[in-house]
Amino acid sequence: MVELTLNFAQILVNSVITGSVFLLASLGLSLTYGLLKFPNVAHAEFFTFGAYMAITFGEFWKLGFALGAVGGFFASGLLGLAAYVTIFRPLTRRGASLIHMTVASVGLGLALRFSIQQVWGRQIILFKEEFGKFDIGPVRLTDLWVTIIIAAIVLGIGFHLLLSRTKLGKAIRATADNPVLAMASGINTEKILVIVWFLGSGLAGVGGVFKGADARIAPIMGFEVIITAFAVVILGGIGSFYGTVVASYILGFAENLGVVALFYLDLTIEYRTAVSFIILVAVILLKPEGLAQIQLRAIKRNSTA
Amino acid sequence: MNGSERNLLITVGAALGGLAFLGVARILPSNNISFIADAVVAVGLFGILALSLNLEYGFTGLVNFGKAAFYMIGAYASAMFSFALAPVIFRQFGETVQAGLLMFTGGLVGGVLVSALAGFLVSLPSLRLREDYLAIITLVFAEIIRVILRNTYFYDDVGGILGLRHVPSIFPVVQGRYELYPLTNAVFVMVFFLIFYFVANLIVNSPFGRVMRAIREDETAAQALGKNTFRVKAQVFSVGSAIAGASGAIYAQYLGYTSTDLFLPITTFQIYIIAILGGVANNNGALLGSVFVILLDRGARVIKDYFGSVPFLSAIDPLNLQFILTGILLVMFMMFRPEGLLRESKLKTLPD
Repeated sequence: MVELTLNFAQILVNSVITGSVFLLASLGLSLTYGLLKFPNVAHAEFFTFGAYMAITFGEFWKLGFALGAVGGFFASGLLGLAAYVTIFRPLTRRGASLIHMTVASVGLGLALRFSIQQVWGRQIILFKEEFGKFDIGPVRLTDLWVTIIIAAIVLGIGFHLLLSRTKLGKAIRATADNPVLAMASGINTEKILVIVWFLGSGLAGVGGVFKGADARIAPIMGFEVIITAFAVVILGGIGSFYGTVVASYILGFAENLGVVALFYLDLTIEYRTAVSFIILVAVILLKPEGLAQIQLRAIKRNSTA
Repeated sequence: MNGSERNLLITVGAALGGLAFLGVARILPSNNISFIADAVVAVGLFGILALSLNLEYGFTGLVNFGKAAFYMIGAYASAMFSFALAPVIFRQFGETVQAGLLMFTGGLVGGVLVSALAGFLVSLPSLRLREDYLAIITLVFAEIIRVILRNTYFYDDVGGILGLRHVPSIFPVVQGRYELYPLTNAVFVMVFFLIFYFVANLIVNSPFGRVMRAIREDETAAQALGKNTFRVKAQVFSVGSAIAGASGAIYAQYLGYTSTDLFLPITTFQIYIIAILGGVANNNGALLGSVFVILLDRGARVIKDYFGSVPFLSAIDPLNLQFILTGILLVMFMMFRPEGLLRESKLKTLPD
């Protein structure tokens, strides 16, 4: 077996990058799950669609990577919005059960994935964009990775400010907490849902752009990431923004540690996906409400003490 | 029957008729009986899977997005059991029909048991929670067990992307007459479908079946009446997985081969459209839906030959179109007719 010195700094940085992509991929899923109370399996396809639209805008139409990524955001956002308006809103209004909503989202995901495969082909596509590489101490970084981390930080701070400082954020929290009460207090919950679906799907699209630029673009990429995204959502607590942030980085770290462990055990790193399953089962067994509840309880204990 | 229902029926009927016509037009000139027999085998296998999904989804309201995984576990486990039994059986019986039968029976029992156990264990953590947790955990489990089996080599050339080869078949090809093989298997699979059809009907018309429906309609009410809903759900999930495992075992012996690539997540969603299209909580619907989906599947392959020559249509891959259509149908049914085409079967209980 090959002797390897572990580069802990690199593992940590890689975990942050992986976690940032998970955050982008799962935030919309968690928020729509919290608002409409069903797991939207088609969220995976918003991730994939963003990547394909970005490469179409950025490289086939030669607009550049940055504009492509912005295009990916809007394309996925609009797709998510269209899905909400044409499918999930009518279903909610008809009083469809959680099961029916979930099965409908599976059907939508199927139709979208194979439409994507029909338009762009099932073979892998790679971004031609070259990202500059540089070293900081022992850590290798690329421009893309720095962009991913900055994007996640901007998203984190932006969403925190949105939720805590603005009227819109307050309305989002109120709607997530109790939609009927929110509506009764004069909040336009319909507008909130539209905004959240657009933002959440768009962010998934950006996640897809980054993942696609870092690895490859394929019709299956969204389905691969949704497995981890569900673990993030359940671990973070459904609908909780702060929980999702923490859970994303926990999963990112766990996956990178898993890769190292598998390498040392001389096993294929393909097994790394099992990490999210183990975490998912553990959370469901031990703490099905997720991290968000733990925090709340700690705060309550502090405030009463 | 109101207007919208009739329209739906007419649309589906027209689609079925068109595909059937294309299929027949393609098959008759080449006189290819094997093609039809192979489709019948697929109808039977998917019919059995739909029966098992109906027990979970239709009658009990449990969402299992990992059906393909239990189908796969049945195929893999039965193949492994057959391999393990093969040396003993061959020493005792030589290469005879009894040997094939014994190996299949051993494999089937093993596959069913392992599949049931897997279903039981996977459902266990989430059954006390809301149904969406079960949906998520089965979806994730299915993908992960597939990735793991795809990357695990039991020996140098057994397992992994190579799959399991030389799975013992129950009907050996006699004197090179390959055309008889799908035909005998078609009959064999349909016999199994009928067995499971009667088993499923027995279950749902028993007192146990009434508890299943009660859980689907209102779990709290069922609990209030003193039913241990947690145990019933775990039992239903185990039985459903066992039946799916049996289908996998039959599939593995039919192909003489099994591989993770035969059990992609798309298989699960095909089983959903079968169960929903035929009629949720209606076992007759399993066969109707299965015929429809297999016609769609075989039709897509047949149409491919026709599409090639048409300038515009040749750009569309019928296999993509098939799954796009499957997805759209799932959405449409959830929106306009979540109970499926056939109504829920009435409870058949013996008068006191």
